[in-house]
Amino acid sequence: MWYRKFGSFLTLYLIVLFVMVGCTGTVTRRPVDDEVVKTTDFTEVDIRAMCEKMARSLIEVPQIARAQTPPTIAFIDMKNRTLQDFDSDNLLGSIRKKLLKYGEGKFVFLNRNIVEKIKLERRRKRTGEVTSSTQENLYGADFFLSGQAFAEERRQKSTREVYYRFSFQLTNAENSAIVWEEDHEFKKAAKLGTAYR
Amino acid sequence: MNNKIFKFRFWQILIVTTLLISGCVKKSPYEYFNEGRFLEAKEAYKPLLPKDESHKDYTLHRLQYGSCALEGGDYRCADACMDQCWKKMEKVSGQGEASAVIAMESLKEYKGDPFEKAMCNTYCGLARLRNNDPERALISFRKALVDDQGTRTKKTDETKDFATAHYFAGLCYNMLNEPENAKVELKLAGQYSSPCEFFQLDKVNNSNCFFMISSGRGPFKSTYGPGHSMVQVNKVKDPVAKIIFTCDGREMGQAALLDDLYVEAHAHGWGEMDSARLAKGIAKEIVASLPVVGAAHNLIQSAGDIRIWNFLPGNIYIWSGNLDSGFHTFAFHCYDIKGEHLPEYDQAWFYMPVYGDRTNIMNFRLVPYRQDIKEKVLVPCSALSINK
Repeated sequence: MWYRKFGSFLTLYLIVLFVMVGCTGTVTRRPVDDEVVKTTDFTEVDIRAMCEKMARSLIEVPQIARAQTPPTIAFIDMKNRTLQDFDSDNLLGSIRKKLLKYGEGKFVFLNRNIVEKIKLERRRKRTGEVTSSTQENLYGADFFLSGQAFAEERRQKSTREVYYRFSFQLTNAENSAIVWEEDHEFKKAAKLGTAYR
Repeated sequence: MNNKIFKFRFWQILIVTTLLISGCVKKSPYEYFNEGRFLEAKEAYKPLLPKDESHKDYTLHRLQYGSCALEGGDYRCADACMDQCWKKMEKVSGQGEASAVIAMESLKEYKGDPFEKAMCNTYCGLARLRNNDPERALISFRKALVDDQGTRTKKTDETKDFATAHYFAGLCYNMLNEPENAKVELKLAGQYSSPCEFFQLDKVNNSNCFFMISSGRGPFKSTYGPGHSMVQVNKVKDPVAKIIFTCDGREMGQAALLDDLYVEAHAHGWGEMDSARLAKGIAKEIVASLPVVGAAHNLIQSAGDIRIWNFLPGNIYIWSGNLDSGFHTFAFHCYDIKGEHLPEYDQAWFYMPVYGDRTNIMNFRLVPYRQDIKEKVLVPCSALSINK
């Protein structure tokens, strides 16, 4: 009889143990493209798909593909007209990384973020304050790459629909002609939980 | 004789003790807020904040706390609170949903009605505008307009009539050099409030000060019907119908009414959960009337969820104009619908800074019989401290 009671106690103990183990927090490493948290915001998965599309399209622009010397490109600020805060520098950096990967040296990117620091360093080199191995001119930009992120959200009762459009333009820095423009569109939809309808 | 001395001493000690205790008993944050003591309300609210983010009323308490901070001038705290709250309110699902459907609706995580989400985003946007960041402020005001779209109503106009967000979105577009978009938003603000010069782009371009003036108390909810299953929104009467702004004693014009939050709240009509709750309420009433098993009606939970952001204002006004840079005395003079002056609602703010090199965005909350005016000369208000 005692073994029956012991068996019942052991079974109950094991059930409680398994439940508690199952309820504990876990940490796992996930692939970058895996979206665990579902949201109508745009995510790194959307950004990666967009950057790849933009890069492949940009390297086919005739002014870049057929240029004798690699043209120089500077980034301008990206306008944010979406409904979420995002780091535009990070987004432009992702595009630059893809362009460099697919471009195979067809263009040169200019880092205008640190131009003031570069000018200071050049002044110090020319005055002999620091050593200098070479002296060159600062590159001027042949093209400016700019962009705009736009989003429109519609809600009707318990349904949400968000439309995104990311557009990029390449503008000739001499004559302001737009030599390339491309956009990436996608939509996301969500339905409110039952208790909130 | 000894008896008399004893009685005298007894009453003396009793009176002194009562006075001491009454001085030690702190008021609730709601009492402090009603008296206009916003920073004291904020301090009194701190112990009431749930420490666990998963608490079902966490967002509600943070919004109330954020309101105290905003009206008291602690913009950094208000910005952080509102930012955290709207992220939780925007999620499509929440904790306790299953419990809310089966049992009591108030078991679900509080996310607020569309007008509460819109006000949370509006306050976020105001804080960002004061930080001279019109691009991020525009995001908040556009989100407020999207939240208004979530209003459960068959009238299309009621899903885009939040004039406050339209106005400030127009202001942001103008600061970002997009005059066409600014005109559209200002026109919508005028369409859904009252057409006046404030919604003309020329007036916005010629103004360096933009004041949002809040008056009265926001709506409250109550239940009625079978099993208290139906929820209705009620208006708190505000006698103020007209506000005249004076600067250093000089009349600068009347503020324009942008929104009545009761109208925004009332527009949120019938939903699926309301139908489910009504069915439960009717079932509860039927079971209660049955013999023998009548007591089982207590097992059916049909009470509606009456949680609401209490510290919201009733009406929102706007005033804009050009003021000389420097320190000024601002006063708001209130009148009722018949044009009778309401001196107990008048309020003055002293040593208000106006900066010549920037757009001055300020937020004023009118509270009748402000207690802090009786005790102090300088009135702490939401516009006094710069959020830099």
